[in-house]
Amino acid sequence: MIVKLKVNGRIVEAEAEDNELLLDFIRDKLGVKSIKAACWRGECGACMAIVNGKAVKTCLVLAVEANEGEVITAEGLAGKDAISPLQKIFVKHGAMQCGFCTPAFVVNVHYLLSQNPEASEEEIKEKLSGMICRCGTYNQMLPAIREARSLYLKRKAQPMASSIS
Amino acid sequence: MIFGLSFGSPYFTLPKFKYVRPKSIEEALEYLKDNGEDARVMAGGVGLLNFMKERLVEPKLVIDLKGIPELHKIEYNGRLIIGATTTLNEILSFPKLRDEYNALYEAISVLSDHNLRNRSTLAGDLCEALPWVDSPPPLIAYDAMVNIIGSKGSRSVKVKDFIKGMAQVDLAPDEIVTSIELPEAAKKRGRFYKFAKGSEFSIASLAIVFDASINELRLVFGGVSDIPYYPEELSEMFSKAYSAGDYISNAISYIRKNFTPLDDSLASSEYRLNIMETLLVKGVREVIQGEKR
Repeated sequence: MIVKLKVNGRIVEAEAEDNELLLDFIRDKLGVKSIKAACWRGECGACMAIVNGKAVKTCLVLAVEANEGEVITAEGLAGKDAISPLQKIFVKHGAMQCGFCTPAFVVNVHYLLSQNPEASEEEIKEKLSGMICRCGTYNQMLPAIREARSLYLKRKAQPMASSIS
Repeated sequence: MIFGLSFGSPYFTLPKFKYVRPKSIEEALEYLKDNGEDARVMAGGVGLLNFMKERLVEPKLVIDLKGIPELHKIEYNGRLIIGATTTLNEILSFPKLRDEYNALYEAISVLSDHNLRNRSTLAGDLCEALPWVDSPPPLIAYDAMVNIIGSKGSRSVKVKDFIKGMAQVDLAPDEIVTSIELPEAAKKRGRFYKFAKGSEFSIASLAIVFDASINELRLVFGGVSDIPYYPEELSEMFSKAYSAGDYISNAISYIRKNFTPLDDSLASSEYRLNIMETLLVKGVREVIQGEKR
């Protein structure tokens, strides 16, 4: 069936098989490559995207399920020419090594801080526990997240759709 | 074990199936009736899609229940009613759960991770009926019911009777779970303890539900056998016990005498017994010290 999505603000549509994962649909059909395929079973979080306002692992969502929905990936956080302030903070703190998982982490941190910029460090750690950075740069990410928190506190939390379809 | 999960095996694709998204329960039941065992219902899909990638189940028809409005709800009217497609995070953000059903709240808080909880559902947890899933023990401790509808009508069954074995539940191919219902618990307190040794899979867990005056207490262990272990005798022993120490040592010898835990790749039977003891000692002491008798 034809799946119509709003991806990073742009409305796109493409044919999807019923058994096609949203992950494959976004990467292969729509050409949005910042989300990555790694474990394919919901353990590593490299395929994280914000779908209808909730950060989910797209390897466990069907493309047809997301029809008429909205998807935000790391490309959607950045502007056309410049990276977003959150991404700049990640760079400043060296919160990455190989960079494979970085778009997913950035998206999830954006989602968590937009939801609740006052979340404690423990809460943030718990809410990032579904993701794996194989280079182990967690200790660089935490100071980055601490700095980013003040940014999100200042800017009003972005309104996001509340229900997942 | 009915099946072994092959951790790390590279299954990238889903088998072929047809996807439907009915708008009403009647429509969903119609699909189930027409397709029998070839159909599977999906709520969050976390379990189903993973099992399908491993070819443990290969339905020809996947019926997505998320299009049915009456299954997506959580409400309290003296009893807590949680719809089949309500996600675990939506359940966690319901204030009544945190205030009055602490054991269930604590169990869901440590179940898998935040992003999966944006998708997975309580009904899905129950229908999967895997030993290491944390939500069934507190549901049994709160005496929760599963509400089911099928082509022959609707029925309710207690969670403790619903789970019949590993990945086996009391649900016919033409039936779906509509909601999970917990009795009033305003005068009760609960705790949940989980031991997972660094992974997300519980090697042993313990749900304790007790009344405010600590005269009644229910213990339900998870992760230690094919189905949650609910020794009702331990509740009777509690009401007759002289002291916490007395109760704990009697409870431990009762479990050692009457129960043999699972022995699998996660942990040996003896290891699980030791963890059960540790959780029991910690849990009962905290309950008694934390609340004035």
